Amino acid sequence: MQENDHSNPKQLKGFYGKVKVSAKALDILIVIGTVALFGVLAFAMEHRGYTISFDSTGGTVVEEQKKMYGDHVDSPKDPTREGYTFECWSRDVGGTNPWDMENDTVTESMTLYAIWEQE
Amino acid sequence: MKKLDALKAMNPEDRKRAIGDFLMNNAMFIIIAVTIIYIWIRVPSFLSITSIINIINLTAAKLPIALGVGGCIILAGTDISAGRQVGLAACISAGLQLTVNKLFPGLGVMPIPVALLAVIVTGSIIGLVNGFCMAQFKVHPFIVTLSTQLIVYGVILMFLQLGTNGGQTLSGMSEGYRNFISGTLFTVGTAKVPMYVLYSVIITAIVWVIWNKTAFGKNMFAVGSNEDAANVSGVNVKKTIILVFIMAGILYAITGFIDAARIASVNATTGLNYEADAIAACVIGGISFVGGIGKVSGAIIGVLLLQVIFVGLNFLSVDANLLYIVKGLIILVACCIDMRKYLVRK
Repeated sequence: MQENDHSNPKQLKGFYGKVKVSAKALDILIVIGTVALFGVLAFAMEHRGYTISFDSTGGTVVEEQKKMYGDHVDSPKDPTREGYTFECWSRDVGGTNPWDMENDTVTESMTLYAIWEQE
Repeated sequence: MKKLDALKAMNPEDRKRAIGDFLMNNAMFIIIAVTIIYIWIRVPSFLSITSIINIINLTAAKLPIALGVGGCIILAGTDISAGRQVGLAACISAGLQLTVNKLFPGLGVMPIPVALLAVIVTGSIIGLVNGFCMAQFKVHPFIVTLSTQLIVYGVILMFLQLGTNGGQTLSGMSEGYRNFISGTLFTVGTAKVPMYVLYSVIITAIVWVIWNKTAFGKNMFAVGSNEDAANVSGVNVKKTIILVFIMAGILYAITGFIDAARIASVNATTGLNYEADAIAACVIGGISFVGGIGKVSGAIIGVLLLQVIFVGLNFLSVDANLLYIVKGLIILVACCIDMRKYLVRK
């Protein structure tokens, strides 16, 4: 690590361009930033948990669930829709990414979409 | 030990200043170390073999884009089109290798080299446009890459509307492609290390050789450090700038090519804001915005540390929305540290 020379501060260059700031001001900013970071992390720890929402895409409403990382999703009662039978829950509207209630575990907040089969 | 002796030999005022400097210069590493230890205490499984292998895999996947952006930062510039370029490459890679292709109805699965070539050509073209605008017209890198970012996003949206796809997510890629990227390289216990880790290592080695052992690499550092001095000493500055951005474009393309199979699901949001992570990783790793300074090892460390933090926060079920605030603050603090290091250097 190169020695620090406080007596002769250089002017910033490159992408920082015309930035004029003293080392002391930066010290203060670094401390404020660090405190803010730990503050946000502490806040995050108080509000943990992922939300699993269910979009019935036209069917009856299904309540959302609050889960932690690694939990399984509680299989809700199948929603109903006039003229359709319920097939499964999928991570995307198109039904190309179905959610396996038995084996898949929660890794993030998400919305599961109901996939219907026309009767 | 020499440093400790030197510390003891100083008078109290100098000693306080030396300790202060040490704390400031290493503030980011201290923050990260504290956070990792805290997460480990709360969730011990965070540092299990499976979890560590997962972190290594994610680091490997996110390294090429960081190396691409790193080159641009060494040039004393930036590249905020990186994320969308990765997204476009992912769309093209996936779009050419679907088992049921709604984008190009009737198109069978294209061979892997064809898809790879297609994305590399695309990345090179976008890199060329970026580099040329900066080199020839001296437009600020932020403006050029912002425009490119938006244009590439538009291209992604239109690409996903092709055929009968109608903007939907692309998934259902060919088994050959998925195995090529995510097939098992080797296993450690029950944890699997996929093939793309090997590709990432090879790419990193190539970039290291380019940065350190080629004339082009030396020119890149020279232009970033002092463009006028480099010009005077015979470096073709325009060519160097253009080549750096083409190299970056190719690295983003490869990242997208790997990500499409790795995530196995591509849509318009793939690649969104990837450049924020890449830039943060570079700055944490000592690739400075003042230009002409940086090492490949720095990029690796930066990407690794960020991944450890974000995987850890994921383990703790922290709301992903808060991660944006965390990332923003990390970039801010990392840049302040970077500026301070440069300001008080001898």
